[in-house]
Amino acid sequence: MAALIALLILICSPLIGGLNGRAWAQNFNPRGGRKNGLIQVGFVSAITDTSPSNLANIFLNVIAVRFNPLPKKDSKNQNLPNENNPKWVTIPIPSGAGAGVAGRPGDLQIDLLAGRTQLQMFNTAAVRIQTFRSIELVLDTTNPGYVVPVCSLGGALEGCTTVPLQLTNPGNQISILASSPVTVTKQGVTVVPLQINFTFNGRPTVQGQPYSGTVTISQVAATKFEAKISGTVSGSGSGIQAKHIRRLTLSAEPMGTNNVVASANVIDSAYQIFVPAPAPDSGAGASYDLFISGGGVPYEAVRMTGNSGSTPAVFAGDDLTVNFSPSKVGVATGTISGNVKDQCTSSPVIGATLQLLIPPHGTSGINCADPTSTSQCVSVATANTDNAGNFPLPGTVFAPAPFDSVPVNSSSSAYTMQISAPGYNSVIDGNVFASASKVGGKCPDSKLAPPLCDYELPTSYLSGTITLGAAPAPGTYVMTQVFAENHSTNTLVSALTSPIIILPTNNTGAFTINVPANDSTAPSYDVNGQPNLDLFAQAIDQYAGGTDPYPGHTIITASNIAAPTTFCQTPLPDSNLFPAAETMDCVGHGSITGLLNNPDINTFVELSKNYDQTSTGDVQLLSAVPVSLIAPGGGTTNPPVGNGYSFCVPPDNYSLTRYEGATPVESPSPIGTPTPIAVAPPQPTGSPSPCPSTCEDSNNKACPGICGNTSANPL
Amino acid sequence: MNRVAHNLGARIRGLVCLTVVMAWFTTLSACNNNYIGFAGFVGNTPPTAPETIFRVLGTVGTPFTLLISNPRSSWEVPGNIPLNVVIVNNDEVNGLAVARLVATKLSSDNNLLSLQIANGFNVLAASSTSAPYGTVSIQTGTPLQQIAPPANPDLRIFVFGPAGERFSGLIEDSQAGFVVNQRVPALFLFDTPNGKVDGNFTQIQSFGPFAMNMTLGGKVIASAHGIYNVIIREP
Repeated sequence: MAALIALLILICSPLIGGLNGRAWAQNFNPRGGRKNGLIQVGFVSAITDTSPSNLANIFLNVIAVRFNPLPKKDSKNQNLPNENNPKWVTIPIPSGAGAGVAGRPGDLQIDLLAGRTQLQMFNTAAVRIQTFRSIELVLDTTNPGYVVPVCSLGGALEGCTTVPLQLTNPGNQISILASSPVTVTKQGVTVVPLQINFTFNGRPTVQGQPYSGTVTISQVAATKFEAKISGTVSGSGSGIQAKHIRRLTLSAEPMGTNNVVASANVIDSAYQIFVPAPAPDSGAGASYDLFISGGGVPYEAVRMTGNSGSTPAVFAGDDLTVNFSPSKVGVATGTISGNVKDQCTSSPVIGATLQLLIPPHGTSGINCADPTSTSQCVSVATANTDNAGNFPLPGTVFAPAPFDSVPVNSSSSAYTMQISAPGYNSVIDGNVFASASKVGGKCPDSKLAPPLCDYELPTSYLSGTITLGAAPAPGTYVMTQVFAENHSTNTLVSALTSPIIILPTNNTGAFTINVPANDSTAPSYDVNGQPNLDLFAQAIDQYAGGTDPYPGHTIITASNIAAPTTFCQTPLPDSNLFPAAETMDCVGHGSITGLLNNPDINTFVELSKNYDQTSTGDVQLLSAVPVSLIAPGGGTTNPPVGNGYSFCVPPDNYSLTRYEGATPVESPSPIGTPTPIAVAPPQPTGSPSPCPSTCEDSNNKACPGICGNTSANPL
Repeated sequence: MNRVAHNLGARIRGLVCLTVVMAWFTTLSACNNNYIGFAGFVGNTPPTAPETIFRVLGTVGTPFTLLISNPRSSWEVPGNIPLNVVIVNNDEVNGLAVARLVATKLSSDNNLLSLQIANGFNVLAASSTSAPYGTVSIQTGTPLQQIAPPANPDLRIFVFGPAGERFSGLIEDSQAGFVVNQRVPALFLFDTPNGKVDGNFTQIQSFGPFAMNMTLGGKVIASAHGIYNVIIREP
């Protein structure tokens, strides 16, 4: 019987794949076929508010964007095609971002506040060559999104908690006739930035009511939000690409990251891509790493910084040329695979990240294996470990995992591989080779099982106690998360793998957190920057029984904690890791809003807390970028850089510091001295049962009242 | 002319295959699992409705840690975006799953992490963060009064390849079978299994060979690879 099933499936598999897989397959691996081109969709947003207020977040649940060739140019009927017209072509949400039940699309949450100052890429998908004249935005009409207002809305409305969003006309088709027809060319990339226009039509007057609003879209010029980068790859004709499953591809990722934001096939030795970029007068350009992979050529990378002089930073409207000249063609591809374990427990490290790093083309003297130089290198392939610690996760037949298609290298051109995971010291191996066999790769410097590419990640521990101001009220619990960051920075390095649960029977919770150790016994180990750490803990509360995006308990901090000096150091519980007198108190919500003088895209505000008011006691907690709902900054930038910012934080004493950086990834500098600010607490109310708030102070049997906003002086 | 004839032939062959396959699966469904590798094994169990699905979505590759709790059990799930999670044999109240999810992003960047709960074709709840090491939580059903202890036994089936493959399957213990229809990567958490567990998975697309394992208490106890149809059993 099984044999019969297998036979049937074998015969019919091309049909099954063809019937069910084609559309999604294109989405997973957007490669233009002979009759296809690519559409790349991105969003910016504009918010129209009818009355002055501020929002902490506004998320809109997008399902898809659709294009339709109708109405035809010369047709008498120039109306929009209706919802059921068969010619609609769907650009679904990216597979990783929301593939839904039974292959149906899920929701992609678009941050409309962030969209006011930056283009958010939606998806790139292959479509047939044609010209589209209608565009539609498809929203989740039953669950369109949510709003988080800051405090001080007036009346009895709580702020800093989630309020549902309703569409005023959910049945309306959100579509437009394209002001500029979208023409998809053979194997080309057509960029379609869409502006989502959100207008508030209704606001809650009592707690529990939703916001309501109307969504429309408009087409905006790509040159206002994106830059074009094109060039050639010499010696890489189409014949070479055809021999390789993984085609020759040009990819772009923000400088110093492994997050590919755009990629395109190299066709007839040429490529072009479009990347998000700020307006020319926005203060600083975007910085990207470009690299080529696949097609039987070795990796080659270019870093487009604004500082090198030879390659510029990127601004919207730029039309830049970057050419590549791989040293070889016809290189065989192979595999690098293995396993990552915890050095202390030998248990698998799940979700570890492995990156192949190479120095940018044209640079000399950069040794990617040197931890002090790693940040100057470009990540050209990334893999993650599975639940058994094995890497890479499988790709598909037509889009193998990047670690399954690595150009086989010689002894004189070893790869550098960085293995990292939160809470662990990174391991950098500068002697890695791809293997043409199905299994393996060669990693002779692997300390675990050379030449297999199996690794152990070292770690150590800090152990302490969190003390609540009062035990949770009966029938409730308090969930808390602990974070560790490099001292005096906002570079977070670890968090608990599972939050601490504190029950009504107690007001303390013990924790042990993995942290990188300051151990110098292994020179190839990176100690992740500064040896000392700052810790902070915040509650994950509920508001009136529902989920709450911001805590109602104070955030407690521990500053300048010495990292363990040896790997696998046995954790000694330290009840004073967090100052014993610093308790996590139920205080309710609070918020801060303020203005920034002449911000640019690299301006941000850092909120810190200095519990003991010592010179080294500042623990950085949160960052906010300038995004103003009410009064976006002037200037000629498009979209404008807002001059307002906000924080939702529990009432307490904090400091605000403005920071500026030359590029988004360089170390920013503080501007001026930190400005103290005290966030006023709400007036407690009597405690009915259940407490209609974010937490209950069981000491004085009170609930925090409705929160208020604190205005900061302009920075 | 030859190309037209070839195409016509291919279409006819495809239609014939499709008809045969549809008839075959209709027969199978009427036979209630007796022909799909379950007969004589763990149990001949009636399939039940699809489960509520939890999804961790956003910027692909972003590491996270997730705590999922229902009234009986809780699970700590580390991983990378994207991940689809299904609690098999979930506790339901009035037909609605009861669960709370808390996820912490484990990267110091502005990548998006989005938690979603879906039932059928509807997204019931969603919440997102793009903050460095941001934390999000969502819940469905009546609020949990307590966080249940870690699942015991903690039996999981993780289908991790090929990337993006749609598949259907049946996961069962000795008492009940649960129909699943998911996309790789998918993690199935079997809540309080009764007896041994097995799973039978069938590819809907053809992106490459299946890759999956079964863990008990964090240890891999079974692995399975193959094309089209793969069975994985608790030893």
